[in-house]
Amino acid sequence: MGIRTRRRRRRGRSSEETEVQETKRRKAAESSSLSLPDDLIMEVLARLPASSVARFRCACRSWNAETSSPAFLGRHHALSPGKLSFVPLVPPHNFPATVYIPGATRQPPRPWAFVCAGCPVIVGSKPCRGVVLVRKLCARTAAAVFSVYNLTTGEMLRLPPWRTISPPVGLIEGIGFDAAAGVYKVVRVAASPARSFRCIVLTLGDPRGWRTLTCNATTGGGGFLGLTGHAEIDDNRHNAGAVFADGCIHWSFKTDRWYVDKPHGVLSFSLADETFRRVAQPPFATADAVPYHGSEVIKHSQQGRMSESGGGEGRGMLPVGTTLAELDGRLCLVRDVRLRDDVAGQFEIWKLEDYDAGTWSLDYRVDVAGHRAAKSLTTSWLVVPLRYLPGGSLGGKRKLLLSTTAQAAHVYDPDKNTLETVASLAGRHDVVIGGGDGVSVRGFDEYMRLLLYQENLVRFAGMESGKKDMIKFVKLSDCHISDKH
Amino acid sequence: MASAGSGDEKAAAAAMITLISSDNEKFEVTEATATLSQTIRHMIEDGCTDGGVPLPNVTSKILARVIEYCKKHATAAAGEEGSSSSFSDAAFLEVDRAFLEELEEFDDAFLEVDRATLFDLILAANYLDIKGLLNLTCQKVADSVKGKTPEQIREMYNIVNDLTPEEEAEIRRETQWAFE
Repeated sequence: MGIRTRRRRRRGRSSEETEVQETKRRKAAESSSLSLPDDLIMEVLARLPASSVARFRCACRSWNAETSSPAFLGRHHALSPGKLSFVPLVPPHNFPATVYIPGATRQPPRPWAFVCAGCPVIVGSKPCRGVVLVRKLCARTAAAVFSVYNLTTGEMLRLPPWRTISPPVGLIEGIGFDAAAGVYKVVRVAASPARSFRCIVLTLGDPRGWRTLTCNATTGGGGFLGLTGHAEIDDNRHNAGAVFADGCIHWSFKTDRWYVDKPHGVLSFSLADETFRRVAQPPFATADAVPYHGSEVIKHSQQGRMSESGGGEGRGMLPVGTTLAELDGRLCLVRDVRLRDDVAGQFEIWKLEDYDAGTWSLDYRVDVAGHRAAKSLTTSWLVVPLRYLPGGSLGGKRKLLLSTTAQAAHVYDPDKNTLETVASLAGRHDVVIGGGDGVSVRGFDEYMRLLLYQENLVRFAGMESGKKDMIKFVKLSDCHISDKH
Repeated sequence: MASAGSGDEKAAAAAMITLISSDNEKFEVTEATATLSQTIRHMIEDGCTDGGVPLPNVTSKILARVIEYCKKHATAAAGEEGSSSSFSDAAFLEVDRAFLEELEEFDDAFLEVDRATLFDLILAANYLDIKGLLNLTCQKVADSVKGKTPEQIREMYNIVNDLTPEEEAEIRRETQWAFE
């Protein structure tokens, strides 16, 4: 294949060809039909692992040019099977606290990952088209510095600094892809102590650097989309953080940071329009958002208003309530009903149907009641849905690939009512994580997080290679997630 | 193979289409089989299939293989369409699963051909616009070359290296991670 000098087989042969010509052609084809037209060669190359494509770039000039084109990169990314890798959530801190999970009396307390200022942290729960946004605090100025990291190539782009926010209060950020323009964008929102908001956007590869947005979010007397001074945008490190879906980046927020049962909502930033809007959460979101203390399981009927900070005695709370997620490119909301006795199953997944009307529909239910593996779902701190997989049979229900904060990934099959573990760090004591403050901890797998990504060979001008030390992967040999049956 | 049987019965009632290979061999197939090809589907929609569909780019040898593939997969497609509620029965699901496994085994066996035939199948799948077959055959070629070095791939496919040593060194620098 791939020989430009060879004659290509034409598509529109005339059907009146004589028998003789036909025989000749066939003979020629039999002896040397080892060539394909260029577009079909690219179809083959697009199905190779990224490392093979990269190696074959030095086969010849045309292969190098074509496999570097945006069209090929997009096609290759779309065809790549999902890959699961463990990466450190944050490097371990010197003073890990512990949390107790209700009902998990035989389990040792789990260490709780504090965010150490000097440690790089991946923003959001999922990579955006093969790249992640990494936040790190500068040791000297304490300002946040950002880089974009390609999980496939290990190349890293340092984003230019933005110095005008001081002190950094209430910052959120996220990365997304503007499909129409074919560009990645990073957006940051900063709130000053006086709760005035500023918003900046960077298009990756754009020499102009950060642009300050004068959009509906920062103008007008209503403040940031009408959020009051008591509002808080959720930037929980263990939580989903920024979620990219539907061409927008989403964050969840509370309208009152002190009272969890005040209405919650979703803040949405459109990559194409560069505008913000608020999306209502389903009615149950507020009612569900009551935390549980320690091992006491408070029934739904007993729930009252409780302050988030009232944990006491170093105990954590099980984050009952809602988490944003992306599935099939759409914004979803995971409803955690593990401790609810009035709702069936463990989790519900709701899909946003209409941004303007704020209508959500129940899309999926995870119910492993009675299953022996159910414990891995009922005792995990958080469960993050990663991807729907085709059912195991024709017309069968979709399976769901999900990861838990107990460092495992499972495939849930609603037809068989099974939970199959496809990746786990449990018992792997060979994992060593180097800490930001010089500690290295062996077997401390609680600090690892599962990432699902599809390979992408995208490069940005100014990218540096050899920064693999920034994010360490734990290689898992057989963790390719295929969309095949 | 309950779903396979019902698929055939359904198809038997449907219209037959005649496909004519480049060497003038005629193949009679059901419309369900033929319309796995988007090219033929459009021809049927345009009503220009009377007297047979000439396929001057496909030899009888390759067309026979393509039809073999389409027959098998048309059955699968028919099963998928008539699905949803009727598939709740657990015993039926088991039958179904077995059929999917059988389909995978069929695909594996189907790809056990020499390289020339494989390339002809790719060309035919592209010309006839059969997505599943194009994906299957391209993936097979990709799997057979993925571990190769640039030198090996050039040799395998007679590719002339038209890069200057400087250009090649530059590309290798940029893709160093892929050689580790």
